[in-house]
Amino acid sequence: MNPDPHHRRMFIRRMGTATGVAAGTAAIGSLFHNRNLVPAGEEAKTIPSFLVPGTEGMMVVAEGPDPAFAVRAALQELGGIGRFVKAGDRVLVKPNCAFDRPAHFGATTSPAVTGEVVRQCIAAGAEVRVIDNPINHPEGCFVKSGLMDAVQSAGGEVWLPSAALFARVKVGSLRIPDWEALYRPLAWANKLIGVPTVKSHNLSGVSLTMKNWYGLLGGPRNRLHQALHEVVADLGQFIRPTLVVLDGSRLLVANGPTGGSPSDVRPGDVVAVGTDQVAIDTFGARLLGHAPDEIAFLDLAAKLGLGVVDEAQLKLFRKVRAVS
Amino acid sequence: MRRLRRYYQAFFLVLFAAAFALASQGGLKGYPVTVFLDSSALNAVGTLLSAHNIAYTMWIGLLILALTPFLGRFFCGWICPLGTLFHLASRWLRPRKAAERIRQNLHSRTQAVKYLILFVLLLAAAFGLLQVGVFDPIALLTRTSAALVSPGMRAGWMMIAIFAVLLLLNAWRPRFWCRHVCPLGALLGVAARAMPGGVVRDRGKCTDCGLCNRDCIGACSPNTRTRMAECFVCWNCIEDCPEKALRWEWMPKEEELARELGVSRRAFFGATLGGAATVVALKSQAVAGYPERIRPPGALAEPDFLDRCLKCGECMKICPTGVLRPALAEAGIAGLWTPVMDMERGYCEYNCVLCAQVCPSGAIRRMSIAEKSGTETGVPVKVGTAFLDRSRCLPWSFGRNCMVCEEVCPVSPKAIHRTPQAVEIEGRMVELYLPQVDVERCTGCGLCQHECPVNDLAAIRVTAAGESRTPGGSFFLR
Repeated sequence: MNPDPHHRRMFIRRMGTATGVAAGTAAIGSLFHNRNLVPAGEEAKTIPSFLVPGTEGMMVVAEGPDPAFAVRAALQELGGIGRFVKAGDRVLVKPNCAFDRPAHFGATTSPAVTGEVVRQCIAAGAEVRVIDNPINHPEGCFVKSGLMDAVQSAGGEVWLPSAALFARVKVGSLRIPDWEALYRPLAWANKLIGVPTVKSHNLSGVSLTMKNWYGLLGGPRNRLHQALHEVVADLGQFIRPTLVVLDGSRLLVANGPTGGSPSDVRPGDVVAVGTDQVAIDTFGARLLGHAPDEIAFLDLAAKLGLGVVDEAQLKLFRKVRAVS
Repeated sequence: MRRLRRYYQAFFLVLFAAAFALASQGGLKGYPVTVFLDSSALNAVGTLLSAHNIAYTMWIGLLILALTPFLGRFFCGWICPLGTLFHLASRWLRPRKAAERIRQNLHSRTQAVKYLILFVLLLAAAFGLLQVGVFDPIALLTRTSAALVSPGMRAGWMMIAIFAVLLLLNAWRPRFWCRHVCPLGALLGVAARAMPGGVVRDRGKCTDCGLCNRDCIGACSPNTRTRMAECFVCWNCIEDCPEKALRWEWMPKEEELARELGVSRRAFFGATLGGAATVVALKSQAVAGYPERIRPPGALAEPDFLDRCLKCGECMKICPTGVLRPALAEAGIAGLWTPVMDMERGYCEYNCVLCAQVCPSGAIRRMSIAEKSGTETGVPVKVGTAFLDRSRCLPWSFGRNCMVCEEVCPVSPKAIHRTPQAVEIEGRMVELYLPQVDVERCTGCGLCQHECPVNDLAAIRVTAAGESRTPGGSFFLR
């Protein structure tokens, strides 16, 4: 090889090397270049309706001192648990377990009602898991509210929230189109039963069925209070439950949603079981002394077609005395 | 004896791990999870000097100290879980040749350093500066374990790094910490000096082969006269002597026993001066004026708290919300690694007194949930006060409703009230709720700060002002 740099072959070789390096640079650049520096978010997932077709628009109110008996009486009136839960179903139960409080403070759903719902589903042959994403430390909330014990002794399982369970899901049409929520449990279940309790609330007036779905959310949910009534109506669109069991065995009438003193609690001796969230929440609001027009989210939810405020418009509405 | 000792060491190491694991919300069912911290005589003597009394559970440490003049440093050789870990590390890291091991286990003059450390710590404690927990082996192990199981713990890396260095030092000298540094070992060593008997050597039989030093744990020179303050009563030397020249004797002649600690007069005066200077320097730091020094509920008033806190980290390990973390600068130099609350990380759970239940020294006093929340007396334990930062608050500053702070406030009636106010926003009248803190009811739990939607610096923040543990701590004229 002639070492003369002006030699033709040498010229071609050197130009070739330089061109190769330039082409490599261009290839890497074109392969990795990205005009949009904000990464595209994952698309929000859709949560299906858990409602059993043909069971829309029902509510049974059962009055009696034994809340578990009242739940059974109401279910019987609705046609039995078998109408809603079948053998082999995966049932997710969502009580209100938001705070680290003993049950008698009324800030959480009573163990008696939650336990009875779990027991009924197990008896129907379903697998039951109970979930909530509380405000306080999850394990502490489940243990001190007595719900851990009630669920486990009824044969169910408590599913404590962890970061891996959350994903972005579609919620509602008014304020929050999508939000971080407990997606994995919602995707696992084919039936969902809400077991809220009856509480006063500092901002939304009452905390009942639809407000209780807040406990399925994660993310910066403390921002939702800036338009809480619209958000509660969005939550009503987010979850279409198989069944709702509103625990009115005792009512948190003051200092809600946390309570904190036995004097904030009054006996209620009633449960409302059904499929119409709006009717059940209207009933609950009345228990706390609120006319439906005082609670803005009821009207919003009714306008969205989530249910009816007037119980006369229900397909099935009954009141029973549950005395054993 | 070797095999028996190993059974004991394994048993107590497992027991320590079990007690540590049980110190959790679900596991604590009246188990004495702090039994090892209670068995450290250094903690008992230290708090005796600083607080002038001893938490009642620490009788175990005093019992061990009282047995030591008869049995020697059996705690170091047979019980201490940190000693067992360092023992294992020493075994893994030791040289293969017997001659090398014999050389490593010869008594070293620097083993006297631990007596100086002990002296300075007790001197400081007597002047109301309790730092024994920084060097106490059980507190050290508990703290390091807590850092290992809570990955997000601040300064956790510092504790783990210190432990790693101490572990590696075993390669240089087996059980380096136990022989040269440990002030608990030093305290037990001082007591062991009074033993009526010890390992004695028959000079007629001894051939000076040096094998007695090959597996000597305490480096207590059984090849000359056994130093009673250094001996771990393992009796390896007696077993290893090929000539049967070593034996345990209960009442030997006095000249057979080596009772000296090996601390020179010069070193002793040096330590006194250095210790005194340290005490003056640390005590001259102000006790008041640390707004972020928010102590756990039930913590004693600051001077009393510092007189007792062992910095063991047990409270931080058990705290279910993780609000407790080791102080770096929040409580002054003397308060390094003592527990303070960080409301960004967690909050103080209303129905919870776990930290008070596990505090071994009573720096956080035991109390019931009813006492903490004041449901019977109407006077709750107050760790601080929530202050509203109106310039960052959504309703106050931006005309938007929020009231998350009121919603989550756990006391009844709530310690956050609202004032409704009609304001005009974009030509529309809006009813706005403006939050306000009721200082008498606020317990400083920090749930409002933790839940405030203003995310980097919350619009409501707790500081220690108004804490109930300080007499006259309220900033209001009654």
